[in-house]
Amino acid sequence: MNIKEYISSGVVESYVLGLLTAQEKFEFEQYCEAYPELKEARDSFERAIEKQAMENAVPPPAGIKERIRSAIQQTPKTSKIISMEPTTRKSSSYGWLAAASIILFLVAGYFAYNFYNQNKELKKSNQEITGKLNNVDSLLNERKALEAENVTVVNMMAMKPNAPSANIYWDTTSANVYMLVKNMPKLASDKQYQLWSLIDSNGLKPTSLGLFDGGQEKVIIKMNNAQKADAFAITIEKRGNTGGPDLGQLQNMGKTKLQ
Amino acid sequence: MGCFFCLSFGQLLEPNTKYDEQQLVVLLNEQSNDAFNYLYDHYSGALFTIINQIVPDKETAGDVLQEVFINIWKKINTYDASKGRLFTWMLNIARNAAIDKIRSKGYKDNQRNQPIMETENSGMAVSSNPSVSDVGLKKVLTKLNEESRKLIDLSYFQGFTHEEIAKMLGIPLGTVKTRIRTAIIQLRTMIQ
Repeated sequence: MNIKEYISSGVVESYVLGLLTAQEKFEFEQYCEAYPELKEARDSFERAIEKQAMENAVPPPAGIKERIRSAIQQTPKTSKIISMEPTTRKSSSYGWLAAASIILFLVAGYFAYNFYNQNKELKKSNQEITGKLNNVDSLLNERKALEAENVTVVNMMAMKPNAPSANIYWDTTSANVYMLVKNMPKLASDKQYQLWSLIDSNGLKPTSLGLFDGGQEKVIIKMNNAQKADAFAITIEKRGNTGGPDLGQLQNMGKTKLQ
Repeated sequence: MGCFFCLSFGQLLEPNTKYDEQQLVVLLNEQSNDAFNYLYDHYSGALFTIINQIVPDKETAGDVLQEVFINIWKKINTYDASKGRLFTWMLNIARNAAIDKIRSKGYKDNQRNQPIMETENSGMAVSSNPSVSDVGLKKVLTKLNEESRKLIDLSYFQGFTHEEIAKMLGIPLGTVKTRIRTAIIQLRTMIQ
């Protein structure tokens, strides 16, 4: 196509003035994408028309602005409007109307279906997020507990090469005991770790603060409460151990007071 | 985020600010009151003039103007800047609304009741009606020869398709197309 000829054919002006048929209009828009000089010619005629119209503007009768303002305040803008751009007229528009209404119906159906699916997905991800938030919430609560004033932090010293790595947070007021697990090697399926509190005056008689599984990293575990403790210890026991600690399997030990 | 925009753009919207089109479109999409004020104050005259050239009665033209601004407000999210300037888009909405008005049954019935209306071409209102302000495009039209003027009037101001004009004037469709293009090219040289 000779773009110079096309530009000077009057098509630019016809487009701007809305005098092209739908087909011609479509073509023109396609060419505009491909030929910057066509777009430039369009823009320059648009500016000329605009300038002309602005210079010759006659003010409308008074009061219209207020009428429009109250009208637009009553009709909230709908979020999505199907484009009804002016197209070239036909003397009978009923055929078009019928076609348009069918298309509108299909488009509406399509949107309804999409919205339905989107809604379902949103609900699902909403649930997921709520679940995650709850987790975060309880973690935060635990964090708060850990940062309270009367909390003693006990660093559990490793007694064996492959010992777990953990800190005990012991709230001496509420007697709550939390264990922050940094790293806890996995155990055979019939074994569990067990946390103990030891009291000096008792001849270091151990009290169980609970059993827990290995293979965990960076979690906070709420253990049984301890009213008194001079030291904490972690051992490896049979799963569900109800007896005393197997001190041969002592993994970690930490004292609550610096001596 | 929305509020952040309201604030920052709100500050731009001092009474005497001039906006570029892009800003204005963003603000209209946010349904900014100030943007509406600016839009109306800035463009209502030009749009009213084109409407009034198609709908000679000032009061009816005012009604059409109202309808046009409501439409602009509602449909601003369909405006596509890649297809042309905001004013061109609004001008076409105004022209189409005005043509719809003169073709509406109510309007035609009303015209029939008017005592004497200068008509021609199977009863269509004609632009040479002296009550129409001869400004803007219409003024430019007066510089065209009789035939070109008639063609532009029928196609642009009365919205007839080329087929309709061909039938009306009893000339072949191809001739109508060529002559309208020629008239439009003449028009361009007069405007620019």
